[in-house]
Amino acid sequence: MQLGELEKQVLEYLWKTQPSDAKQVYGYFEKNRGGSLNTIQSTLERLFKKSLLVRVKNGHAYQYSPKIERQELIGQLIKNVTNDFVTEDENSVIAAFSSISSDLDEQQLDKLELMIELQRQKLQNNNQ
Amino acid sequence: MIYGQWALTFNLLTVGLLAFIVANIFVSSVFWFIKRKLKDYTVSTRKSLLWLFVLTPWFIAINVTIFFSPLFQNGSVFNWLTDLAHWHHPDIFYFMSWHNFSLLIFIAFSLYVSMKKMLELYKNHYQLKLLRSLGTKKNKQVTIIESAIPTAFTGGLFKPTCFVSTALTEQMNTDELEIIIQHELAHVHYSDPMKKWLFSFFSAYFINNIKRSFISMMSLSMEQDADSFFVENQQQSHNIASTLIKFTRLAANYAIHPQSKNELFVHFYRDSLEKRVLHLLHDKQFKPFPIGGVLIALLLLTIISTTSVDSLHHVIETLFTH
Repeated sequence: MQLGELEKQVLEYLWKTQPSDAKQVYGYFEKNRGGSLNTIQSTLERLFKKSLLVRVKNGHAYQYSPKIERQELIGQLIKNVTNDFVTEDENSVIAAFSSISSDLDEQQLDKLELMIELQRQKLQNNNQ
Repeated sequence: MIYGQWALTFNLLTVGLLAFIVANIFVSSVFWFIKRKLKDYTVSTRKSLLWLFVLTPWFIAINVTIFFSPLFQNGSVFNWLTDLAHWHHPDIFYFMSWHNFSLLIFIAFSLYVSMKKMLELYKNHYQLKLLRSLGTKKNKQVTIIESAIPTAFTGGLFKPTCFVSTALTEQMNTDELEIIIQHELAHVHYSDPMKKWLFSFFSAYFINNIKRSFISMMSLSMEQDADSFFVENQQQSHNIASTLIKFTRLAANYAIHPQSKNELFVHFYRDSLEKRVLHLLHDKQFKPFPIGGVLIALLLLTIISTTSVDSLHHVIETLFTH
């Protein structure tokens, strides 16, 4: 899913403000960007269909607001794109990663750091 | 039951499948015995050998199928070999036979693997596009994403992009950040996300233990290759190793998915950290590509696969009728 420039701007606007209807969003973009109410309405509709916005009917108009906060959405995307293909039977990389989070504890990291430092000193001595 | 060209085609596919199974068992056994020795080879040799392991069953299956086709079976040059390797009744194919059931199982499994991988790809593509839209382009290949999660990865099959989070840009110094970005750019240069995805597809045809080892070794080799891509002297190696440790400490605090793996993404910190640090520090002499061993193994495997197809056929038919 790709966001068009206007979609991105509308989403950014809604992240910063309270729930708004199409007219309120248009009111903001009319001053800053131009365009028509129809364009804003269809942009909001597209963002809603992409499941990025939620809406509640208020009188005759819909009030739109972001489904989740910006940071949360990005966090979820990072988590998904780096985790989408996890399958229980394919834990080849799990072992490596677990070793970082559990087996490879602070002490082991310190040990590796010390090893790097010793190599650095050795290199310095050889160069002198 | 069918006769003629179609029967011949189905029989040849069965021949190919039997050869594939024989080659798969052979490759798995060889790999299991030599896997500990693979670390003695250079990273690029290790990568080539791993590709050879996963692709060999396909090459053998294609070769044996061609050998069993009328193209070779009717020629007099290979008479001595066709006595050993031949297929009875190639122009008759029974649908209610083990030939057909094995073929159906293989086709169903292949469809399952293909669909699973394509679905992964589609979901991945969709989410990456959104992440690109929300990020800020640093340059053509690097996108900065505003997030408190310290992360850097490369994703995208056809146009790979490096993603670096703001948490990382804020907590690493300029040199360290440059190392991370260079590492990710090396993955772009090698088209690693695409290769990783393809490799995982071909590995899917092996039993779980072998498959895990293949993927784990390939993943580590890709990281080691990217680690040393821009290394020109020992000091740079030390700096990369230090950055790895620092990054690991940061990432460990934000272990968003500690049990994760992903063929389409290549992480800076993932994969055996210790192996990567030691690889950067040690000036070990690695063995060259074992061309002699590989050629002998391939020749042996071709002969075994070709000759065992008929024997295997007979063994199966002592248990099952057509």
